Amino acid sequence: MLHIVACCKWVIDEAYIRRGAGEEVDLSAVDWKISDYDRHALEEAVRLKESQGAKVTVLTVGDEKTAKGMKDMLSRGADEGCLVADKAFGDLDSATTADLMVSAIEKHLSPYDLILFGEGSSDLYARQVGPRVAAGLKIPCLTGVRRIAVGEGYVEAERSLEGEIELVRAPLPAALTVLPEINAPRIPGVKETLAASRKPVMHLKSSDLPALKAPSIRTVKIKAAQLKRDCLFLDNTPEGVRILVEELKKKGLNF
Amino acid sequence: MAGIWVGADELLSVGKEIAGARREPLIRLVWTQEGALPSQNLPALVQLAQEEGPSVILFPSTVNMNEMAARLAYALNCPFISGCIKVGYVVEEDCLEVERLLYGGAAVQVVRNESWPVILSVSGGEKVEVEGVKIKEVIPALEERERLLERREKAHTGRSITEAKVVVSVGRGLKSREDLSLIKDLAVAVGGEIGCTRPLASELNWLPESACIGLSGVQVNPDVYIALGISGQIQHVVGMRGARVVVAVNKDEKAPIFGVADFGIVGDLYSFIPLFLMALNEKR
Repeated sequence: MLHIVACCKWVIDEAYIRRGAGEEVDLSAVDWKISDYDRHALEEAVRLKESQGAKVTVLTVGDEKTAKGMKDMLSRGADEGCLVADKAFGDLDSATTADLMVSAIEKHLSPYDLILFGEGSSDLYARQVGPRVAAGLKIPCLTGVRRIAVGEGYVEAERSLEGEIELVRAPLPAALTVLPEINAPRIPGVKETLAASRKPVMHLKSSDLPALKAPSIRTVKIKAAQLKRDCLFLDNTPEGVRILVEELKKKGLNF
Repeated sequence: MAGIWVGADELLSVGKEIAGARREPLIRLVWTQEGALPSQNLPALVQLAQEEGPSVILFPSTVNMNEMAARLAYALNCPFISGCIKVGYVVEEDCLEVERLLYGGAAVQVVRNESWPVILSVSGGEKVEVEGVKIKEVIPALEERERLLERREKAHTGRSITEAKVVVSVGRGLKSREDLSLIKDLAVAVGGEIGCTRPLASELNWLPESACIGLSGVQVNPDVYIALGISGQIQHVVGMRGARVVVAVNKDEKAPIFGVADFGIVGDLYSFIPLFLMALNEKR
């Protein structure tokens, strides 16, 4: 039977981010969620399990808060969890996260056939962890995937590039990063949520894994994005819309 | 250190600046086979980089180039900073300082490299003339584990939306696929291209992926952006931040789109479009 590892990240829900004083980002009222793209990776793993039989293990790396995320991930159809969580594992860069995943997969989740990732995370959107894990495990990597078919010993994936669609075949095991268009993730019900707490979870801490390398990049600042504009409200009436067209004309916009 | 490597013409402007600051040669990587898979180009690239030791490698921020950059960074055990929207050089610390978007565009992350070499993928930049740029050819491997079975062009809807002076963009406020004809009428009247939010392209499939505006779609910089029935989630807003003038129409007065618009109309797009077309005709 196929063993599929779906990698998910537990991230700050950006909908709760407020702009603080000046350029500051206010994270005081944030909630957490499974990274958007990763939901599609997990959903695709569960669909493959339903259509052709597989064991799905969900793998996540983060600080202690991630334990809550693991329950959420298990409620979405994974069979087992591998929780790589430690207070030292918050705010890791992509290279370090990938190193930890490679160690966890090699030591504890082998053998495996498919490793699925979201194309990028909702917070960093670095688009690196999937290809780096593939490189670390020395397995093929396919990015930008919008359709997957698994055959005997191989996977065929449709990749969506900027201007082209490609159909690519790779031998198993392989790592794939998926786009949101691949599926519409299910929403877990009460039954699935209750069942999630009974599923087995392997918990790996920093002492179970090789020492982290020193990070090679440094975040010097995080500032709120400057997107705000002053909105002039006009009525949705013939007069209001006439004023709108006038105003646009004043700005040199003649259609 | 042997140079600043640049993987696309539009990054010559960025490469030129770094090369000047670090007094290093600028080298243009040339992909000898169009459409080679990242895994095919990678072996030659790793070998070249190991032999010649560039200090900076710049890639355009595309699906293939980001993948290749991440795998190259692993092979060279060096940092890769993806999706940079601004690149600068800090003289005092002899490092690069780059900006990239965080949290779906709600924040900007300012990052410095602590070691060389460093790989960046960059959005934007422009093609500039640089004298004496050397060329380095990347010759792809013939056989790789990943094998291309088929390639086809994506369906395109007329002109490129990224070049458009006017973009008429639509979101969940549109009730049915048939109603797209209304949006098309408006787009024709203002000579614009049609864009949309992520759900309309990915979940409903009403418009092609190439029309999807946002962090994970295309970024547009029109003179005017008309947002119809779009709530204004940050992931979408990031894609239209470059618009000179933004007009937003939404039934919900609390919709975040109004916070990033120059003109706002609280109302139904279905009643707005005829009113707007009428006002345009009066002007002519």
